[in-house]
Amino acid sequence: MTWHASPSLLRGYRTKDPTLRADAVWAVEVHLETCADCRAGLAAEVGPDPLLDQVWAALDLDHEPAPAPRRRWRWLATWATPAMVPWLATTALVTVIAFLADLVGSTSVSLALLLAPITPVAGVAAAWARGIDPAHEIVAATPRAGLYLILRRTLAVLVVLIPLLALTTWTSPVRWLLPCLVFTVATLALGGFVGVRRAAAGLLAAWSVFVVAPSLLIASPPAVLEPSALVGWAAALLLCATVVRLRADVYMRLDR
Amino acid sequence: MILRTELRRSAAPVVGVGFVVVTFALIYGLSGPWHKGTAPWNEQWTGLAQWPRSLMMFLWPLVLGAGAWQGLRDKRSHVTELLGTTPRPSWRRALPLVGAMLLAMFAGYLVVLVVGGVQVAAHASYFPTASFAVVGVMVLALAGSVLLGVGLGRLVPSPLTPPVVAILALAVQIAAQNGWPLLLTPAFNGLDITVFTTVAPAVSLSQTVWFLGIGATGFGLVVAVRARHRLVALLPVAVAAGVTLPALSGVDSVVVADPGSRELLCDKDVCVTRAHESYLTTVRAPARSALTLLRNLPDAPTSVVEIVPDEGYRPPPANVVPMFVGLDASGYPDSFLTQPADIERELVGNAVVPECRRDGSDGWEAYVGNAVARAVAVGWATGAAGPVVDDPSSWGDEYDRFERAWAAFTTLPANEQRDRVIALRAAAHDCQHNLLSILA
Amino acid sequence: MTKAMTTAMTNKGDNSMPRVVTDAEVAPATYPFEIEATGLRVRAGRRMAVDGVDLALTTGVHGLLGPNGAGKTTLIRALATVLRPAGGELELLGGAGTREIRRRLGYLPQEFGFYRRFTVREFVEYMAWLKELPTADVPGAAQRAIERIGLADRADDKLKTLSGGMVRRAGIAQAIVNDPAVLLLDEPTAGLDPAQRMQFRELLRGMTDTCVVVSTHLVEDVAAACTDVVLLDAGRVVFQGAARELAAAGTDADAGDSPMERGYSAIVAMGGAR
Repeated sequence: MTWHASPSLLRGYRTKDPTLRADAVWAVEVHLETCADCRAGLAAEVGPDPLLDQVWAALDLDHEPAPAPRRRWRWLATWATPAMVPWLATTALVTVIAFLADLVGSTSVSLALLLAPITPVAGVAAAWARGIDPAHEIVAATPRAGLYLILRRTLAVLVVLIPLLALTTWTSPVRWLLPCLVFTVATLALGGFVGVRRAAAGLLAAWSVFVVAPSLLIASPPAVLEPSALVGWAAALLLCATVVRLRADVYMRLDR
Repeated sequence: MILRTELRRSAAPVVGVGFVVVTFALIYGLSGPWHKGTAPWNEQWTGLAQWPRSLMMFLWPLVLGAGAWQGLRDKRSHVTELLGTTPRPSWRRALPLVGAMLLAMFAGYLVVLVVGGVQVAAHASYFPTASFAVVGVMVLALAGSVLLGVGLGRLVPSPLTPPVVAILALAVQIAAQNGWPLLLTPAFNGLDITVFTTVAPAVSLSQTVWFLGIGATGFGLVVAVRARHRLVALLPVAVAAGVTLPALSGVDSVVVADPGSRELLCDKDVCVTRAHESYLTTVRAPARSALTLLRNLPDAPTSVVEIVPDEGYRPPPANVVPMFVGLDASGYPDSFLTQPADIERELVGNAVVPECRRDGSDGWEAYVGNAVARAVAVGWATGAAGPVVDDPSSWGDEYDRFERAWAAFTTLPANEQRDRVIALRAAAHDCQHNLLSILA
Repeated sequence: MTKAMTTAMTNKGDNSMPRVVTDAEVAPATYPFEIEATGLRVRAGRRMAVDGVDLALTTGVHGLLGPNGAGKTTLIRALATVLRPAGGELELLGGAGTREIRRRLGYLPQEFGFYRRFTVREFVEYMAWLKELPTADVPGAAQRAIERIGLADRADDKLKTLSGGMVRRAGIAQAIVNDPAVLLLDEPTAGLDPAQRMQFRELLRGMTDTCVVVSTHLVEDVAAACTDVVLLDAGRVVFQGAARELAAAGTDADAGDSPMERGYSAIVAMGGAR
């Protein structure tokens, strides 16, 4: 915009100068609607306001401010909501139980390894599920809600669980790290279609019946957790991540 | 009437149907040990009774978790306060729910039994009475798991309870795989399931008491209103533990030999055990043709008898051809032979080079050598054109050794061949180790 | 008042936390209606709960009345951008993007869920963070919001220790923490005693720059505080106008203990006869 209102025009506008033509007043008004600099110029024209001075004087500015409340607790809540904490704790407990069972028992399959890929699912479901998070509806209406918030909370889940899994499974992370990530993203992807709780329950049930049960009953490690299956897991991760990225605006709405 | 409502609206139908679906998914979806061996689940009553107990290893944590989920219901729906103001006592209120869950559970198990039973009835007729005890313990174990699950759900009514309870049960199951603690769980070790053994009655009795205790405790936890009642509810399981733990920890073998299944039923010169009675018709003709083939041997065999290779098994005298059905000579599960040609070949092999009970300490070389010797001898006895092996492709490169041995053997004069085979037979009867050296 | 002048004023006292007014906030609006809906259709489950609603709401307090199942909550949710409309057009704040709308939106749902262990202040500050308020402004904004709804003395108590009415006031606090341009309140006075309801009406009257939509069953609240009433029945708008027009629509023959209630029954009965 090349034309700006001159200070004299602005003054005339402010003081409702009768010599200012109507179309000039109108032009200034329309221009002020869109030009922030001219509005600032108009505001600069305004001198000190005696009412404002009185209000400032009446404000009690000398008392001690309240001590700043503890910030660490609140900062943590931006990463993991209170609704997620019991589920994370339970998942950690379950992992430890599986570890102890493997220690005491002497089967050829490790229960901790079998359960490793599905450990983050409960935490991810607690991050964005209607029934589990009491403040879900109110959070869904905020600008930060969406893929950013849900990924932030998911990251917190993974940061807590992956070191624990590394300690409790006896094998190298090569076997379970990629499946872990796949299940995390798959819960989000599937949850965008049928609701995160149902997606989580479905994935847990499918993994239990199709992988955990056969491994335990036939007492042999499952084929899907062999290093040779990593290519398949990588492809699944790519697919699920693409689905999540393409349907990103589903996470800005209420969970189904 | 309330029972009907509970049957429709509680978790009972889900639990019942889920039990059936998961059981059949596992049985039919996996090629597990329940299709093989002497007592497949759909071919022998013993197998039908015992294999579902082996599957309980995975199923009872699920049942426990489902029960816990059902037990959450009152607290999660916030009706405890409301229900507490009703005149009916707590145990009377709990009965329809518990009854519905148990009915659904038993119905599911019944479906599994019926589906298997129909197939077994068409196949075998040997029914050991000990199977009733095994099925009874399974029923009590299911009931106990359901009750305990619902009780735990009432005790800790948090949505976290069902998964934790289920995983804890699974962990206990894994930890107790070996030794007598396994007897405290509903699961049964699959390695112990053969048609020639049954569960020791003492074990079944102890387990009955144990699961009754678990069930009583579970029910007590369901109806307990105050903390004091909950403590009282722990009493049955404590008493049961006190009674059964000493009994079970002293058990050295869960299964005992079943003499009834080993009785021989003979049709003149072919004998099978009572457990495999229906196999007689299949095996009669090939057995007789095998005996005919072998009549020229000195000390020719005159009968074919099914033998159960226990510890310390040695080949029978030369006039009896041992036959193993569903097992091999070392007692491991093996597949049933149904084709007459296969049966005949197997019997000729057992007659000429009877196998001893091997513990695997001989090594791969001796194993291959014995197989080569046997293949050549069977080839000679049946007048075949080459060494007789079940599945040449399964031997891969080793098959060359078979052909070389055969080539070397056939260069010998006829009576030299016969002498070698007779020597081989005698050596095999003595369970000597290196049979190939005798032949070559 | 420019930014420069505000900063100059702050040097008067070291302990003050003045609020800097940005140009964007004093810029005049370039759109006529904060909320503009044309033929809006929103699904709730399988039902089409909102079926062809036309709305044009500007600043002021608008009451949303209607029988149960009329689609009020679904409409509020669609306005709060948490439900995607199944049909029709919905423009908030002149067609701004969703994130921009939400930065200037305040929402209190009917079932106000909250984290019980948080204090009032912590919860309001958490919601302020979620509404992308600049981090430096968050404590001040939270304090202002808490003072406006009158919970300043209980600000550091855990939410689980508060009564139902106070919890709902805390919910209103989080809705106004970002000085929203659009404020959506679904049953905000449920559980408040009469004195608190009057305070709430005072609060509403003080919000002159905001488009407030209050969905409520309490007809007296609507009569006292709302400039405009929208009556929703079976997913459609059956009445839109001033509160006294609604009162005038009722006669003595209609059910109700007050003119507003009688007018309400009259309109709903008329709608049902359609």
